[in-house]
Amino acid sequence: MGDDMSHRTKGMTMAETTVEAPGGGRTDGARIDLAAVELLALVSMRRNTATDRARALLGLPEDGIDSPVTTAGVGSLLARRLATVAEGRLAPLGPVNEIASILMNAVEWIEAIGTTDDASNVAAVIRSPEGTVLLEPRPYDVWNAWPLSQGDPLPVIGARFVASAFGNLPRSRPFSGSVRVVAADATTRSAVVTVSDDEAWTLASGPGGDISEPAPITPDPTFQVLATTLA
Amino acid sequence: MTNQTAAPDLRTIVSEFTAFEITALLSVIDTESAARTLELLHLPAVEKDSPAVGIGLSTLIARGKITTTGGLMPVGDAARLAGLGGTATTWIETVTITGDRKSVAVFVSAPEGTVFLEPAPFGLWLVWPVKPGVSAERAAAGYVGAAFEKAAGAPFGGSVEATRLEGPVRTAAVKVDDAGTWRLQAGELDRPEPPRQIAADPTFAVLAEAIAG
Repeated sequence: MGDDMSHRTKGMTMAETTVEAPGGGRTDGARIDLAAVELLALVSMRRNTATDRARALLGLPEDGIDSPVTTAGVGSLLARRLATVAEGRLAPLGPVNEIASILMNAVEWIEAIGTTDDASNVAAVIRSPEGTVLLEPRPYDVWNAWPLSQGDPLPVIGARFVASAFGNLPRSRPFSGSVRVVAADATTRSAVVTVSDDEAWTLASGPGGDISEPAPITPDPTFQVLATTLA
Repeated sequence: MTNQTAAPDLRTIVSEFTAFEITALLSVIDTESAARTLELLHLPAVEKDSPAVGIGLSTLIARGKITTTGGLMPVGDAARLAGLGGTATTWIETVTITGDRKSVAVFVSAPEGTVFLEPAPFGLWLVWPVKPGVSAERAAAGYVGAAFEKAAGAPFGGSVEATRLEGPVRTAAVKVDDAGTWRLQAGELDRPEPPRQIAADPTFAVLAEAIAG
């Protein structure tokens, strides 16, 4: 037990998280809560590889800008003054414009998951040349969006998120922490660390659909092994 | 420092909700009033666990208009709209036509107060308060009067249709032609009296009287 507590404490420290940001790392802006249909409205502004990847990663439907479901998101953004309509086109404002820009111009996508049988923390981290946003799903199809200022490689950010989840989730074994990197062509690579009932740590990794057999590793509550595996 | 001549900031009194949000707020209320409010707004009646309700709840929660701690609870203007829509006893659909310009508003009146809703682009509804103590009938007539004032002499039509929890639906319409002649046609729905000429009445109080319950 003592070992476990120290791991968890150390994990929290190494993750350098702020109190609020579950994704780890410093955040530039305040958290913005966006409904899934609002994110759908943003990715519907442009159809390209980046928005295709964002739709898949965030589990958004294929609806276009004119569908009633997308319109619900547009209407909500307008009502919140998070967007206006200029010349018939949706024009997001301020921080939401930054998020829209990241979604439309993204070049890197990852998904980080920390999970036990009872609970899980999940995040998508999306990066464009302009910036990085971490999106965490909440109940009722609401996403917490956290603008991130840090320039660390996305797998490092993902590993920190897993370390946060390892520290924050109620203690339960097995714990599984994974980071999945999505490429522009939709191919993926994953790394998974599992902590078993008897505190044995294993690592598996590989391209999507071809994950290696789990191999024992030294306990690493920072989970940076996920990042180095995917580097 | 006060500035008494400044116009009120409309954004402080008007609320905006998506059609999905209104559907979500009212579909979870098990009253005849809630169902009728949805019907009068031409919003579909849907099951509580339908995707439409889910979408409305999602944006309401993201907007902070429903809190989720200890169950779902509408707050602020969402709570007021749900409260009035769920207890409403009178609905007045109001239409004004100036040339090819048409405005529509639905007044929703409950013992606790009255609001009116206007459809806006992108599936939004604007929700406006009606001054306490003003009847829905008077407020609807006032809405028509304001549109008539803007018409500035152009041919104009204004109609009101009052639906109540009990009793017949009553309608009344005033037409002002380009010769400045005023005509009123009123009566129960589908059984209107023939149009008759009336004296000019820019207050349109005649509409309020015609649909009084």
